[in-house]
Amino acid sequence: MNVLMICTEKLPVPNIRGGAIQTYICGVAPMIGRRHRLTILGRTDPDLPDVETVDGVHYVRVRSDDSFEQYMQNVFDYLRGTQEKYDVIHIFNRPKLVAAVRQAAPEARLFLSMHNDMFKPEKITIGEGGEVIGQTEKIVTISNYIGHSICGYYPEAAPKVRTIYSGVDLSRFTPWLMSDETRQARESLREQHGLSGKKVILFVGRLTRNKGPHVLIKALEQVGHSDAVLVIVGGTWYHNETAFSDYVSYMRALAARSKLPVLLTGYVPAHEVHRWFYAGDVFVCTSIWEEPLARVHFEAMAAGLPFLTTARGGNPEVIHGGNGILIQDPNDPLEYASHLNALLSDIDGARQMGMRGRQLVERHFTWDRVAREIMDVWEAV
Amino acid sequence: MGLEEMQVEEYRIVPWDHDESVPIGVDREFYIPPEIERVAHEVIAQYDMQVSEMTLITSKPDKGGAIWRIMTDKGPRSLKVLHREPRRSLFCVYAQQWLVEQGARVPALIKTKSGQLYVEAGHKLWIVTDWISLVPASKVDIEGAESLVFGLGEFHRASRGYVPPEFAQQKSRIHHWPKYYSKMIEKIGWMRDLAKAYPDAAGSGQLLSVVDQFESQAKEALAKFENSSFRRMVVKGDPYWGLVHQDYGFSNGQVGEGGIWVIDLDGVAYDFPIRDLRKMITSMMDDMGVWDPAIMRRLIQAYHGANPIDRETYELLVIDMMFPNEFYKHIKEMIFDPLLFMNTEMGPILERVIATQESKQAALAELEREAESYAPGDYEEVPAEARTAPWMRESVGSALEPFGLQLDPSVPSVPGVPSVPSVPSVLSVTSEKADSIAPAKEESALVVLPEIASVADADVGGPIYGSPLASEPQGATPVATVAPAPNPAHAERRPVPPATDIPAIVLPRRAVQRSNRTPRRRKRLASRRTGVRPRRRTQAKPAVRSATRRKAKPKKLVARKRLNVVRRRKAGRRKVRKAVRRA
Repeated sequence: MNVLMICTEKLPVPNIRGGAIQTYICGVAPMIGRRHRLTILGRTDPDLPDVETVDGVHYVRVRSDDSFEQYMQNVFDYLRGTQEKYDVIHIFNRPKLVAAVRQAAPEARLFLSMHNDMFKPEKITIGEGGEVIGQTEKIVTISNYIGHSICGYYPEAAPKVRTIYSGVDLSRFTPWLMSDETRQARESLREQHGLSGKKVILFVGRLTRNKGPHVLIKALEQVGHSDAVLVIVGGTWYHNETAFSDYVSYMRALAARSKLPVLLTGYVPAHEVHRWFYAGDVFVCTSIWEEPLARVHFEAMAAGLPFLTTARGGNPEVIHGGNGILIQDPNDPLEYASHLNALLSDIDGARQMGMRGRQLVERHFTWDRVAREIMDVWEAV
Repeated sequence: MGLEEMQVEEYRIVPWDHDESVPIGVDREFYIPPEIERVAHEVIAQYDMQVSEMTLITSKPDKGGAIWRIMTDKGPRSLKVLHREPRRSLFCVYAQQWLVEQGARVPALIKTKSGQLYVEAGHKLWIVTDWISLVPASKVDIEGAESLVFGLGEFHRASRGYVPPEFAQQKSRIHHWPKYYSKMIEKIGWMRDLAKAYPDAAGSGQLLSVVDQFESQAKEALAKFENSSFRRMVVKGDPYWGLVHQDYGFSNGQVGEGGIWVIDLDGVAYDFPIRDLRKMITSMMDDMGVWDPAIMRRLIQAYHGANPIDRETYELLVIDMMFPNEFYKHIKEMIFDPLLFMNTEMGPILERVIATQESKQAALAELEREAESYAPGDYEEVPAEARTAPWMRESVGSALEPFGLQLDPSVPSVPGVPSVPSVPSVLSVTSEKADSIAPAKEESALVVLPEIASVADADVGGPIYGSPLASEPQGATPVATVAPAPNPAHAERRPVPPATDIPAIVLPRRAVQRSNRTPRRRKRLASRRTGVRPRRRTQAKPAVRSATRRKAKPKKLVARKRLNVVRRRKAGRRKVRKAVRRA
């Protein structure tokens, strides 16, 4: 089949500037590209050519300037102008693109991948949303939670919605217990930052109130392990911030007075962040908002880390077979502290938990599985 | 692409506050990089006028904005480069045009040779307007303030009905009130956290002793807000409410021919008009150091004379005033350097805020009682069921998040669209829903996720998580309302708070507040400007920056008697210099 995948206007594909959706597309493109004729339409980038073919996958890039309207216009113009006849057009996380794409490519079968709650009434009117549901053949979501949300707003979407969980690069995110190379990388990174011999509690994510790392900093007051260190990896968006928001200032001010050391790494580019997973001992996701399902869970599991995550959005869906611990109230530092104390007191048990996570992702969260499921959705008649 | 502009340059105008090519010793606020001057001349060429003189009046080096007074063969005019992103600026430019057409006292835009209201150059919008002779309103008597507030009312009234062109970014704050208040409450909590974390700071004890009181004030005001007519009022839509200026005061509202002229429309946005009014009134009371209900009443009535307000709007005004805005505005600084702030500046500021509390509470209590003297407005009741998203109805006791205010998700941001989601067809679909789910169940043949002991059990080569809807009980019972039938499966789920995810907190758009205007604060603000565009890295950056406490800079403590007096005098001086600032 001749397949077109349309990414968002925010970040380019491949994921040279990070982004969960971009990483997702990068993960599935190789396998899909082997089986189908695949083109990926995305935004331009100063470091990427406007048109190229890499490993059999064709890339087309159009301007967006971070403006959705402009991007939509350019996507429309491309589809109108191209000689290509696409059998399948798979749109990522932009329901509002469906109308334009349908108009430009009346013959194509349309699919939608939903990575967050873009169907909520603040983002799209009920009328337009209903139209979108009608025009798409299937709507794939990254979690049951997102699927439920969509069906809550649009019950008629129920037969079209399907969850396809994300994946992770198992060769990049590896447990140090399983590989000498990773172990060395772990030790050198830890030494570089004064973490040798420490129990590293790892947070990876954007520094915003919704992501909640401030609660983890507060939790440290009640953590009894004097050799524990909290490492906070992340900036405020997918690039280096030039100034601090209120929240980051607050967080840094709290961290400066924390009983246990807090290491703020700032923004770490996508291709380097896996090294921090090597260095960690416990991973914590502190999301306060209704997070669709953070991919860091899969990354942590792949790296053999036991994790704490919050009962918000789709995050609980990754808890399975004793691979992680669920925090019921992400605003309560004590809940984090008590679980951390237990985990850090039993490092062997913690490592086993981490390895269960590793086995889980090896089985079920490879990019090949994701690609297969996506193709199943296209090929189902 | 919708921008029908005259593209003049590919050069991009950016802030020059950190530009190293600026000669040392030059005040950047009175300096324009030569490239921008060049662009300015190219912009001027687009207009049918001969320019004999060009004087830089002021600039915003931290934002990339500037304004010149130009002497032309058609009289004095102003040339301005708008620092915001073009699509945002378009909203304001067309708003200005609308206001002029409505007869408002706002400088008229001069059109280009090709009939455009603006020129896009250097990726910014440039406008040329009439230069109007203005003088500041009197600050020494209440009449001056009254006239200013009256001018504000005229401005608001004229702005009603404005609709921006499609290619302009819609800018509305109307739905943000619940989040805005929740954020204030949360950040007051941060202040408490930091006061606790820095017990060695001189003022921390004092702050801790009062922060609870201000937090309660905010929560009480929030409760009143929740019970107000806000949701009914919002339904009227953006154009009904019109625009707020967001930076109105003695510098942007000045006396000219016929009355008060309003200038500097850079930041206009849709909102309840009381936002501008509240800020004016409370900053005046804050300056005075005592809240005088008689003066407040006169100001509100002056406003009412120009833009009549109804009872519900008046109530919102009073509620907005009830929030600890002054405490929040003044003390929020501590977040950036708690030790320094609490050790040095906070003491007198906090004392002043505390000292004015009593008169503030008394004044507001009095004003609250006077709501009856305003005629009630005409707002339809929004049906309770329609106010919440369908899937929320199953949630049992939605968790009281700090940000958990139930922003009405059914209210669209597009004006004119009915707030009640119109899905009348859904009820008839419920019986079909049962059928439509069954085939899905058959075709997917995937296993539903059970709570299994070990990973090995679940393996069938495919994913362990099944199609999310394959296991849904079929056929939900229709509920006798307009809303779609609730899905019983949701009842099993954990209570789900409403989907009010808070976007990453960005620096709030501040009005001109005296606390921001000292050079030190301005510098600090400038250094806190958040970058927006991804930057290309030429070198790898070290991945780690350890958290270090910023060293407390030795600060010269200036004895302050009454803050407002010092500042007003300074401001007065500046006013004289800039008496003819325009557009």
